[in-house]
Amino acid sequence: MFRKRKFLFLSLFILIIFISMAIIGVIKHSTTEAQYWALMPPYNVLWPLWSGILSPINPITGLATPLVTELTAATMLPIQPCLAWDPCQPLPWALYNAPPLFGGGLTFFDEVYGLHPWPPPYLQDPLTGAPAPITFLGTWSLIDATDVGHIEYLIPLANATFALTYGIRGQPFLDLLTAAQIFGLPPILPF
Amino acid sequence: MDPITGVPTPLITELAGNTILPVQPVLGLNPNAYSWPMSIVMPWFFYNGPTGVQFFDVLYGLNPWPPPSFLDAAGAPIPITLPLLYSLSPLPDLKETQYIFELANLTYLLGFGDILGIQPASLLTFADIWGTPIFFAGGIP
Repeated sequence: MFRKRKFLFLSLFILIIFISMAIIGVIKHSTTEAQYWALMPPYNVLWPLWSGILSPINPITGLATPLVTELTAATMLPIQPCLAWDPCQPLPWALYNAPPLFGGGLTFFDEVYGLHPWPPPYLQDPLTGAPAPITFLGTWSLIDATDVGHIEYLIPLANATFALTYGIRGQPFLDLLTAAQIFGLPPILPF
Repeated sequence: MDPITGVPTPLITELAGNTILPVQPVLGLNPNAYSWPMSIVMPWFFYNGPTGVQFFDVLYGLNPWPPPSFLDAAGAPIPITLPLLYSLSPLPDLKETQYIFELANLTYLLGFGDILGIQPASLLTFADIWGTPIFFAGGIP
């Protein structure tokens, strides 16, 4: 009787240990792997936590924190272009604010579709216009950071398209972020 | 081509911050660039800017020449450490670099075109620089 109870206690103890380890593993996994992207409401597009300039480290929490808290048509970007991505799309979108003369709304550049007002139509309910957020079947937090080699042309092309569309010339154009700034690349070196 | 020696001869003898380019863009290649993160070496495009030569890099955009790291504390040039047999390095893959010409020229025109009064048609194209035949029927070789 005593041995049976001891065996039950031991089994329960081992079970609790296993469950605890599994829970800790899941939490640790999600916190370590979630570092590349953040879900951005209200459309659930992915915001690049891997970009130091678009997601600076919060000095209090020590965590990469997106520059904006949501991406709506009225969102004001503190710097541009910003990046957002629907993993169903081949490349991220470059986001800009139209100049105030043109209403100042958020616009996005898609390599295939060009420059358009935010959001993409498929992220809106066709009847009400309400957000139709991206739903993720898998674990979005496991998605790797964008490879700079995949979008080397995207940023200069998006910047030029944005500038040509809204008549932006000279220094304001040259002040748009480069791929090197977005990716935090080191300076060009002579070796 | 130098008519006397029969050897291709660069249009300029040096590429300093104050060099005046007779045509633009001219190209330069840093064979050490993009071993990381890109596997393809992209040429740099050089233009006359309002205060000196500017160079376009597909990742870094348009910036004054040379990069700050190419100068020592006294402002003297730090030359690129070239690999052995650099002169035998293959040409950049034409098909991998064709879009960068338009991007470089567009970026230059948007950045400095107005202030310098640059006419878009005055800039060399991909075909001009590579010497590809006009509307080559078989596409870019």
